[in-house]
Amino acid sequence: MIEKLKELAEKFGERTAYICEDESKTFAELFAGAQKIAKEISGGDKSPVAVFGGKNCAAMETILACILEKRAYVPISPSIPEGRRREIIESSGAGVLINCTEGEPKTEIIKNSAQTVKDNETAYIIFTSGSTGKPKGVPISYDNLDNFIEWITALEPLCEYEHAKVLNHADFNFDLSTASIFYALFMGNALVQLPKTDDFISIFETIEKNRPEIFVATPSFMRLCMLEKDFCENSYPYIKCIYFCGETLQKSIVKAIFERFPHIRIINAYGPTEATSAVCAAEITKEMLKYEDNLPVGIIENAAAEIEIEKGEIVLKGKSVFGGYLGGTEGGFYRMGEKRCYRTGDLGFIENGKLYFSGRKDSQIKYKGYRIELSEIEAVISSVEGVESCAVIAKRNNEGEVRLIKAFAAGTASEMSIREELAERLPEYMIPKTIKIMDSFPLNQNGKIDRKELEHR
Amino acid sequence: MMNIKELLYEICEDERVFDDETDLVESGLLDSYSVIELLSRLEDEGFDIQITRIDRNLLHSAKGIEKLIGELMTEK
Repeated sequence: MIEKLKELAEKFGERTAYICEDESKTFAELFAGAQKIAKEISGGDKSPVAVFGGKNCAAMETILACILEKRAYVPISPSIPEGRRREIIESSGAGVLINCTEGEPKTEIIKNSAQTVKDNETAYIIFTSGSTGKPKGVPISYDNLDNFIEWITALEPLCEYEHAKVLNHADFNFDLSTASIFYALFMGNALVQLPKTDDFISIFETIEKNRPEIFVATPSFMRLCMLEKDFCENSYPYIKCIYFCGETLQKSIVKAIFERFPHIRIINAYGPTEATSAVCAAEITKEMLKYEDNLPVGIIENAAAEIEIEKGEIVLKGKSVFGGYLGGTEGGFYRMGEKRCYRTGDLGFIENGKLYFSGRKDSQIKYKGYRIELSEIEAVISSVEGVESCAVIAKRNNEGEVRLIKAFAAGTASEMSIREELAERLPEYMIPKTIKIMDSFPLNQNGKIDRKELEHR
Repeated sequence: MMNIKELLYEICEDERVFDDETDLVESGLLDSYSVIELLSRLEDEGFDIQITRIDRNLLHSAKGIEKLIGELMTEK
């Protein structure tokens, strides 16, 4: 990986590599910056490096510096509340924190006793929502990442775009960003970062200013873009391709996009964080809208992993699959001999060589592109003094997309005290919009909380 | 004229939308998802939405959103 990165710096030297707001760096500049930071973190015990910051050039240089030094990077977005940041830094075993929020990156040595990766083989650790109430770390190795890069840079039609610009809206701690970072870098393309996705004007200003040919996006982000009436092929003729991942892609949004951009190419990709961002993808055509009930999420033949269906569940095997959670947290990981395998918890089926996603076998949801264990939210609420019992439910729209998370709690705790605890420990996208204090919960015939009934309250 | 607070309640399912003191954005009630839903609903009502022409400051309160609808009605 290190050699490959050095080759990229030489091969694409003066090409633009990275753009964020008013900052822009060529491949040569980006790697020079990375080498400077790499010197600061060289030596030591090779423990992971917590990279705290948004999507500015300094954050990207720091990530590359970690790769150059073979130290796993742990991306931490400023939008993550302090309590959760502490949990992530502690359980990642990070020995260094690099603050990239403003100005020059500032390095801070951390004393950390957690047992973690010091093996030179882990490229990054992304923390996802954990059902036990704490975020769980997913270490992705260089072997995983190499396999992913090989797959995504050969993926049709992404492999056709050279000297192009790639738009990314995802934070670095959301592994959709992995696709845009490594695809852009290894194709010699420029990565254009959207610093804020809640500022409508800045979104379209960034697009118009940089004219990206490729979007790496969640369907939700595209829904937001489609609210702009002028967002169409006539006004944005340079947009050639959208790579979707992170959420279920509904036919309605694809239909709307094709109406506005008749010549655009749409890729729908699938994969959990545990299998390095994505393992398969399918190009979505206009014809598919006519005969497919659900859109495929991948072509089995061209997948980055072996994909099997076991009792209705999607199981991934091979090089894309991680080697188990940090700290040995239990989950769907297992080995078959030397082969790494992962039971995704996603339900699906394979038909005519294509993979289809049909839901989850547990209470995990996707919201704003992030995956969330409702039980993690429940664990945080339960920890508030005075909460006797609680339940968190996800309300969906007609297309099955989660549009709202609601929490219910019984006991003497106030809504305010629950909100305070949630704000301290969970990122904004995990905080239920509605919190209702109940005298008691409706129960079903088995004596358990009747979650279906709660949906109507 | 549509009842904007009722519409916000349908979207957010939280009674805080009825309180004039609630800052819809700061409270997290009107996050990016809810904004998409709100604007989509207004589109369904026949309003012509141009997201880049919307003054985001108007989204902080029900009164502001009523003003936004008023402006959209004038354009209609």
